[in-house]
Amino acid sequence: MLDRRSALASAKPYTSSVLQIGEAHGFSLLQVAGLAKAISPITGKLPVKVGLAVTSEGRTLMRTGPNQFWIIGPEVDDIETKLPEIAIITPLSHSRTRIVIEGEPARNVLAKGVPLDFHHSAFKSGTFAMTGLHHTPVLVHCVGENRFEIYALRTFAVSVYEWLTDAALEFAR
Amino acid sequence: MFKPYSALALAKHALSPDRPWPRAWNSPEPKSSYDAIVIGGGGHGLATAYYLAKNHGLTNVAVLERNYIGSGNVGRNTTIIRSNYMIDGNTQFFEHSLKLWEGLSHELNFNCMVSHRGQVVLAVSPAQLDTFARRGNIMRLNGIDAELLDRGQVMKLLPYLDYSKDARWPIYGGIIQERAGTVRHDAVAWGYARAADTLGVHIIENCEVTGFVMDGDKAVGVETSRGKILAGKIGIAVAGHSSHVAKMAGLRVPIETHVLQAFVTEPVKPMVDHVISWGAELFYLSQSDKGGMVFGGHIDGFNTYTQRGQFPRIQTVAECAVSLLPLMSKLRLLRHWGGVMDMTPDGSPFIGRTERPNLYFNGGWCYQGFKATPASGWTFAHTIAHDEEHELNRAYSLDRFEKGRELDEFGIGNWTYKQ
Amino acid sequence: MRIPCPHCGQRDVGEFRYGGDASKARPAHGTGDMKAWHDYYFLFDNPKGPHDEYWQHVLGCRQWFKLTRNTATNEIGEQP
Repeated sequence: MLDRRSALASAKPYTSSVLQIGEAHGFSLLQVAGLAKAISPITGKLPVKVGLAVTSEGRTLMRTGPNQFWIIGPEVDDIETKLPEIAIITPLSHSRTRIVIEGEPARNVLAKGVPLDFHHSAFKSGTFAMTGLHHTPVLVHCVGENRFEIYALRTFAVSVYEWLTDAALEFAR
Repeated sequence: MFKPYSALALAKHALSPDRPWPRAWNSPEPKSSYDAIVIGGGGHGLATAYYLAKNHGLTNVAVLERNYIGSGNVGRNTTIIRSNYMIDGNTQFFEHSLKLWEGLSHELNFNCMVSHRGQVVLAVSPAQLDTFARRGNIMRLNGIDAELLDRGQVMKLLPYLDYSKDARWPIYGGIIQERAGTVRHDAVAWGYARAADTLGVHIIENCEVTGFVMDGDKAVGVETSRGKILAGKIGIAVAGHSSHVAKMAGLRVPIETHVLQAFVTEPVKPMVDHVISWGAELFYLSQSDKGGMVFGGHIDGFNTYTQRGQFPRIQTVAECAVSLLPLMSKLRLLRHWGGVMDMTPDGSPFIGRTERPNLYFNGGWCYQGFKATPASGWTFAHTIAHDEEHELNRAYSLDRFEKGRELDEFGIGNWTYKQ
Repeated sequence: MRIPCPHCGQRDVGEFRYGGDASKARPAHGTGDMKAWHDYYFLFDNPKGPHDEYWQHVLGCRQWFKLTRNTATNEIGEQP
């Protein structure tokens, strides 16, 4: 069994009374390309629009593009074994680091570097965007009123984390 | 005829303050015909008209500018002049231009503030320093000045850069061309206009060319917003709008119009005495005499005629600025603007004849046209006057792609860190 | 300037890569006429006005698409 190592193992932990920024361990990620009508019997109903995330059978299902999906499940998940006949799968669990940012200033922090509208009415819980942060591709998933999960490429995880903690300085000490 | 500018003239006018300085150039009504018309009252167009009169005795010439002269790229650039090109064809051309810059203020009797403050290109790796040595040797073999600098020498010249051990892009050394530098860009337009006007050239502003008058496949005149004007010869010099004007003559050219942004900070005390170019990314900076840091980087990257750039480019250029000169993070950006220019498939320009008799084309300057202004005008005038390219612009033909004779400056022409 | 990605919606131009002129027809495979290839590859209409062009949403869904943008104003119209 391979040991799952954190890309942020060397990063300085972040502490503040109003904001949390840290790694959210324990997930598996599968990128799936195929037809929704063939995949949904296995996974549960898939979102119709790009940018929507739904929960089904303990997993988060996202539509990331035309006929393209992300399935985020628990650390150990057997979904990977059920799909190869039906769709093209790319296991991405070890390619991404999931960073969570939560707190009242979270939206303002992200707005400093991500070219999206982070207002409560524009970026709601249950929606996500594949976008850019600090010149790297990230997926930003709103999972609560002031809670976001950011999937950063593993190679850039420390850089993205440091960008976030630096950007947070003006809002939280 | 104008009285020349001189110390005596300065004294005379100081002593009689109610006597105004004469107009620098006239605003004649366009005639119905000229021996030659230059379309485009920018640096290149005005220089062309001047050299037609000065070098070739062709004074029955009009420059047609759709706006006011100098409203285009000659008034928008980052003022850098240099001749450190590596590819044959470009090396000699830009050196000829630099030689013309050296005497220009005297030639035009107009202070163009030509400042040979030197340009340093910084190497951020040992391999890059090797490529700079190669370039320097090519320059030297062509009789052009170049010196290789080690890290210590760069530190002495440019003490304000990041030499710390944490520097993301450590500086290994550089290459300097002492004769390179900056020029007051507006003065170039005004200086050439005044000098050309003095020789009899008509500067016609607010005159937009809307079409060509054709006689078969020969261009014999232009339709303009101020009427029809016939001409024995017509030269096009309208950076950014080259395709637009060429199309009026039924020509398609190897050009895409793109926007380049430029930036200036609030004025600060004199600190940067050179032009600095970076080896890590395309980034160039100098300090103007007013004190602001004038800098720029890449084009935005998409076709546009809007002369307006977008925010992502502001961000990446600012990142370069702060990486190279950490003190820039303390300065306020005063202004940013854009100019539109012709991008070509190989990054090198066009100066020469077209398939239409008596119609000549000067364009495709990517964003390196300002330093080329004198040589561009000089060779374009020669080409128009003799109906044949000069040796210096022979490589800049519109059909060079057909013939496999690209001057491959990576398609951008200005990447001093890659040449 | 914002680009309307057909899948992700309106996004900042910084998320995209410009793909150039989409109006030219590539010569048929095997065409021996070098002029046809030269004109296709090296010559451009480069209009000051509506321009059909390619974009790729590199920081998003990574899909390629075409749209029409007015190069004189940067306004983006209906996709072709």
